[in-house]
Amino acid sequence: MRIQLRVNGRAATVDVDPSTPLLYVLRNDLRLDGPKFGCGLAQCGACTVLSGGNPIRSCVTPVSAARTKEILTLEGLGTLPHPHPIQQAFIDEQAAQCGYCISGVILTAKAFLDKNPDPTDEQIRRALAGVLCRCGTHLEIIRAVKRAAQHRAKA
Amino acid sequence: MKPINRREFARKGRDALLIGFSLHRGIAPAIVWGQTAAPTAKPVIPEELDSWLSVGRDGKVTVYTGRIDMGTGVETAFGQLISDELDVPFESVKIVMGDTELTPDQGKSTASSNASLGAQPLRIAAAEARRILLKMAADRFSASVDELEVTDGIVRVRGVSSKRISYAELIGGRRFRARLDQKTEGGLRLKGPGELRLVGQSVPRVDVPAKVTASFPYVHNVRVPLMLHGRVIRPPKIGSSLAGFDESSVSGVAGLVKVVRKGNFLGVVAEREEQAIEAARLLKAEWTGGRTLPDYQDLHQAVRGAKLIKTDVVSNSGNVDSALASAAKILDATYTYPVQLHAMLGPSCAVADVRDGRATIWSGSQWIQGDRGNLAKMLGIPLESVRIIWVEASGSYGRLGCDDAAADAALLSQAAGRPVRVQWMRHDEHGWEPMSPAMTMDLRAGLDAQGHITAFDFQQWSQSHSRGESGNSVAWRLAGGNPDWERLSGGPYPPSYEFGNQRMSGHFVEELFRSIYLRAPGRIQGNFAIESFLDEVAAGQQADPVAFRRQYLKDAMALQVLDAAVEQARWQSRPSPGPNAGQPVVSGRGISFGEHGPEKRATIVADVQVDRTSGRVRVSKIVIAAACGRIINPRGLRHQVQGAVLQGISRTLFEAVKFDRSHVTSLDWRSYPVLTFPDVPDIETVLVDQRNVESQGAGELATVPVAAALGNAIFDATGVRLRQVPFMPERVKSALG
Repeated sequence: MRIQLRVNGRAATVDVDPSTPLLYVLRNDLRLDGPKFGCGLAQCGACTVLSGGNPIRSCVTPVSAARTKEILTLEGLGTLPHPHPIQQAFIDEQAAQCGYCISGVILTAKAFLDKNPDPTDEQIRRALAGVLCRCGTHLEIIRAVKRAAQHRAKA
Repeated sequence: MKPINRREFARKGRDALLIGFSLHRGIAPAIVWGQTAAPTAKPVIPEELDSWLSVGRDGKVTVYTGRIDMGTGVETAFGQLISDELDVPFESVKIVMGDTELTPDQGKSTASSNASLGAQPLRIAAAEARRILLKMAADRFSASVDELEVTDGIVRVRGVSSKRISYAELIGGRRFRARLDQKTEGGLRLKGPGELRLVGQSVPRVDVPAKVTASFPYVHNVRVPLMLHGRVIRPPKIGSSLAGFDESSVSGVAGLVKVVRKGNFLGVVAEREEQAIEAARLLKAEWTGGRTLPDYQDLHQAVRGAKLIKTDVVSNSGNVDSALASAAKILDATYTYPVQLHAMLGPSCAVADVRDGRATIWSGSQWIQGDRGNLAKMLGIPLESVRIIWVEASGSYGRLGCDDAAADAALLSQAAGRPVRVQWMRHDEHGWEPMSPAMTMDLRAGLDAQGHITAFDFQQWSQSHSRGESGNSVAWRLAGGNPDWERLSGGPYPPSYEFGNQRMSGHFVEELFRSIYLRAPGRIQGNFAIESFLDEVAAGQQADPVAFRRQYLKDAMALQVLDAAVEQARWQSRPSPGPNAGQPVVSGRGISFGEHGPEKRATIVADVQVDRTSGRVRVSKIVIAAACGRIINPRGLRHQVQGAVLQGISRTLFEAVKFDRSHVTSLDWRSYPVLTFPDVPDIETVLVDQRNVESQGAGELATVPVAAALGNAIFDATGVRLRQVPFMPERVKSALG
């Protein structure tokens, strides 16, 4: 079945079973490897993308349910030569070890900061409670989100 | 500094083709990995300099290493070391890691040894290359080597501005054709601490920009032409036999290419990933027999009672038995540590192309040469026909399922005749990764009339940590014909304490689950037991835990990190438990000293709060002092240390693999919870730089003392001793009574 999506500001048409989880369409059809397979159970957050600005778990979202809203993956946020301020904050704080979680972390943080421009550390911790990091980069990540908020306040 | 260029160059330089590059923002360049491009013919034997290092016509230096980066910043650290040793800019050094056709065999990337054993031959190669280049320049200018100086790859005759030549002009694009003696005794000298520029600097990691902009090439992103997707179906019990399967149960799955069976190995291959997942879910298979697991509640009795393979007496000084016999008082306690998982966030993944008697495998393997040999045997093809290309995987904290996924993909590809990508499902990872085995430890201390420890006895029961080594992959075990792995590891390690009469024995028992190293194997468990037990002995005498430890700790490095942590934490000298306010939530502090190998020491002071009503433990603050030789990258080291501490807290408070009589039941993140952001304490890290001690890896050290520091803090808060990890709320609540 042909399904039309809007991903990272562009239209994309894919021909897949409508029940296919969005994650596999993003990765394997659109070659957007930012979102990662972590559990397939909406428990770890590695597959998080934004749908209409809200974080969703692409591993359990059928592609057919993703048609109506603009999808944003990490690739759509910024690029290596031109990183988004949040990505720059993660670079400045060196907030990645293996980095497998980081796409989900950054997109969750973006949606959070859009609604909470001046968060406390405690609020950041709670906002990120649903994304797992196994390498123990939590403190660098919290600092990066804080830095991104400060950058936004100055801008 | 444009760090990513180095890595991209390295990737492209081997065999990836960059295609489909879109100028549109938001669409990433897709890398297509192909095996057709032949690698640049180059030697890989350790005894030739060209195996390790080359200088391009543009002056770029490429270094080839069999060691790999597990997300800990090894690539950056290697770049710093090479840059210093060779006197070239950091940006001009490219590191090519882990490719059996390109990189010399450097064994396993394990045991926190990349910064020491892993880096050493690279530094030697760089130093030898520099020596040869200086000799060439000296000949060119009819000068002596002593008259030369090098900056950023440019050799100059001191004081003669016209006499200068670059490394690129001297050798660019050509081979050294020189033997490389791996020993440094024969005149070759590595630079000393006073001559290092980048070592000791917090150089930003080369991989981070790409990782946070979704342009980093993970093994999960490898795609090759004609690639199919595979998934595996594991037996319901360890040792079950596959009686048969019903192909009609998956006949309705679109895109299904093949159901593959080899012995008890069962998998499916499909055109698309979600189709393979669906087929694996639906396939009806009939299994018979299999091993019955012990009752989970009796795990530690089962470990103690399992068939003994071997006892290793790792330390035996004085006469423990007679010292115990003459002791005024004997204290004893049993400590247990559960089965735990690496639980990598990105499940194991590999792509294999096994066709026409050749195999190319892209894998996150930490031991490409070992995996190459094993896969060649498993597939029945010659070693020379197998190429393993390492591509970075999700973080690993010991060896885990990467080689297993490679074996799965290889069997499926061989059967399907096309390249196959396998990524484990979460339940595959949690249920079948090689685990950290359970341990039971008995401790006894004999005290004299003054309360001084005169005898110390430590007996540990554990299965080996090596049973999941290469050659023991799940796939090969199931398919049949795999060699059994006999190496026994993960026994106890004698601490630096000097008790006079001391005996430590490790009793290796038959396996319960397939097991392998998980961050500080043997040490993390032993440290929990020993450091908690010492706290018990100190508390029995109303002694301050720090002052008590000092009586037995003579090692200068140990005392240095103990003092550093105590000072940073503003430790108040008093016995435990502390003054208990009788509030529903009580606070306490605890200390633990830990070590990893002869050169690495750490001390942790932990502050905790215990909710008596719920049994919930909250770690409010950690102070850690750590020494691991000369610091290569302070920020990177701090990151490693903190990460290891946080993982240690997770393992201590939350993690235990549960099972029923058939199989593991901790199959997702709900049944195997780990630390989350709200659980994270503040951490103050004191790095003790030992400029004159060679650099040591830090991946494991900081995790060693965590469990005892938390247990001791809980005792300080509540007066209740926890002798079983993890300190889950229900267990704490029950202990508090």
